[in-house]
Amino acid sequence: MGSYQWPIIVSLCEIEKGDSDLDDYDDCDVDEIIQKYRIIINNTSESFEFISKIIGDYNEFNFEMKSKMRTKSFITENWQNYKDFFDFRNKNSEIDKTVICLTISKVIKCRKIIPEIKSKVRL
Amino acid sequence: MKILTLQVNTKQQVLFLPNEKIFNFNGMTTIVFSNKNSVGKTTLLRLLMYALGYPIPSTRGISFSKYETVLKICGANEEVFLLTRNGDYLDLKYNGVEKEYSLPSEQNEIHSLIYGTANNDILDNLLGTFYIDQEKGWTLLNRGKVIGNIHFSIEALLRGLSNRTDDNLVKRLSVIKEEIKKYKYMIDIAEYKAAINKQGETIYADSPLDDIENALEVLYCKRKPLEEELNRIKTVIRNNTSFEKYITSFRLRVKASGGEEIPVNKNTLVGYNDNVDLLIAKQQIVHEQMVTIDEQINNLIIQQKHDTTLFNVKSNIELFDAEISRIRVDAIAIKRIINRLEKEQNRLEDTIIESVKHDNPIVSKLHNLIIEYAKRLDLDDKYISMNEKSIFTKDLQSLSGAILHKIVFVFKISYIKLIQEQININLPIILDSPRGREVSKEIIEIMMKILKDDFDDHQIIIASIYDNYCFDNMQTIEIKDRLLPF
Repeated sequence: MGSYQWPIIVSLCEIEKGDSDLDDYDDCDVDEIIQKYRIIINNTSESFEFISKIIGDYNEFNFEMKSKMRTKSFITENWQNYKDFFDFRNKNSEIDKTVICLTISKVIKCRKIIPEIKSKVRL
Repeated sequence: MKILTLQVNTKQQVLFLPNEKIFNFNGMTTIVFSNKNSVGKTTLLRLLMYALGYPIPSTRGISFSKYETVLKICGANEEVFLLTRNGDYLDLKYNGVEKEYSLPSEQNEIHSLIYGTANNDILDNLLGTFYIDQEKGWTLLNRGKVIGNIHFSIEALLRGLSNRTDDNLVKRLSVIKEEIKKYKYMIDIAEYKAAINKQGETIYADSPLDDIENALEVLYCKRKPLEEELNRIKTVIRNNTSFEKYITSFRLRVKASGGEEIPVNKNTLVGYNDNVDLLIAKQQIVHEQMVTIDEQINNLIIQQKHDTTLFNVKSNIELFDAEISRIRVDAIAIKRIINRLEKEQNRLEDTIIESVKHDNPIVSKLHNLIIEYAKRLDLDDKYISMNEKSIFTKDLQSLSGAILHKIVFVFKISYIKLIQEQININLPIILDSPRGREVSKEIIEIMMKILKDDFDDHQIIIASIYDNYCFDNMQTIEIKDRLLPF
């Protein structure tokens, strides 16, 4: 397996404003939050402990649903379960929620992208 | 004040030639005489004033700064002063005290000791009262240049003599003058800058060294977040490894649906290795970005060292141009400020001048002296008005040469008399070529008679091509071929 796939994976796994899967948010606000909380989002989404927890929970969550819908509902219903992984200094719950959702979304996104690219490279 | 001796020393000694020349004035009335012109009479009088600490311009052929002058005088309170001047330095000895001064900044400090007054308005204007230079002296009546850049103003002199110096106004005026000077320098810079731009030499605005400095700054700014990101990834990898090692340390085994036992370690933890690979790839990308920036930084540093050596070879003028180009000057705004300040300066000067004229007994005293001496020189009311304010006249154009000569003499001796009365110092009277212009022998005789009768306590020094002056206790210094033997 060539090592050139990983830079592509890194690039595809980067967090984007569309990743929050939250309808109520303006893209500009989400963009600002990503800029401001990039380090928290990356640190948490790259922690294997957090990844294990998310993937474990996600695998058991409504697997009969369509992928996009499943991710959105998983985040909406479960985001509060992961609050302990974050150490928020400010008490703005709306921002906290967005950061948590973006982090979860990123983990799930990577979980899908990595095997997908790897299998494509193998072909 | 009386001049005793003037010694002129040469700084460059020539073999077989004397290296000093002493002129003895002995505090007496002295006629500096030569039967022909251009042998150094004027130079000797100017040397006297130069030795006294005044910024006197050299005469043709003799540069004063090439000589050391040693002047012995009897100043205020009959104190003897020895002034040794070397260019801009003056060493003053008196009453066992020896002090060094730098000229022209400390000129008034020296003169305050010699003349016995600390009033700058008086000190600034004394030379114009007792020294009549052959060039400008005989046309200087109440304000103008005495010699070189030394000014005389009747208003300032009277202000000093009547103690009417308004410190606040004078301070404000000097602040404004300083400001105007600075703004004018700014205009000069603006013009210089415009000239550089016109010549198309704006390349100096940002020198190659500045470009390098700026580029380096940008690169350091780009490098910093990359370095932070690299450290962050390393920390995440370290934490994940600790977590994995912790799990593995339990030596857990799980059973798969087929009954197979699987040990729990980094190879069997689902997604663990993918995450490791992802983080390592990320680390590598950031690292490569940093390496590229570090290479650029190193290249620039090498170039910077090289250019610094080159740039040092560049001329001062190029460096100066580069500095000037960087300065932002708004010429139009500065001109407006200068106009405003100049208006204020004029207004203040008028106020200061006017303040002397009103209800001042010193003005009356001076006017009375002038009227008295004018009468003795047969100058009628047409020239010297009975109105006190006429002494401040600005109209000298209408006066013929001989009349102006007489009026100047009248004003000068009146100033000297007034000063003697007010601050009790007998100034010398130094006249260069009083027989110039169309002045008759009879008039000169009357002028000399006045000096003899009314100023016998004052030392009179006259430079002339005539030696038939008749004063009591008089001596003559005759200059034959040249003033100085070296």
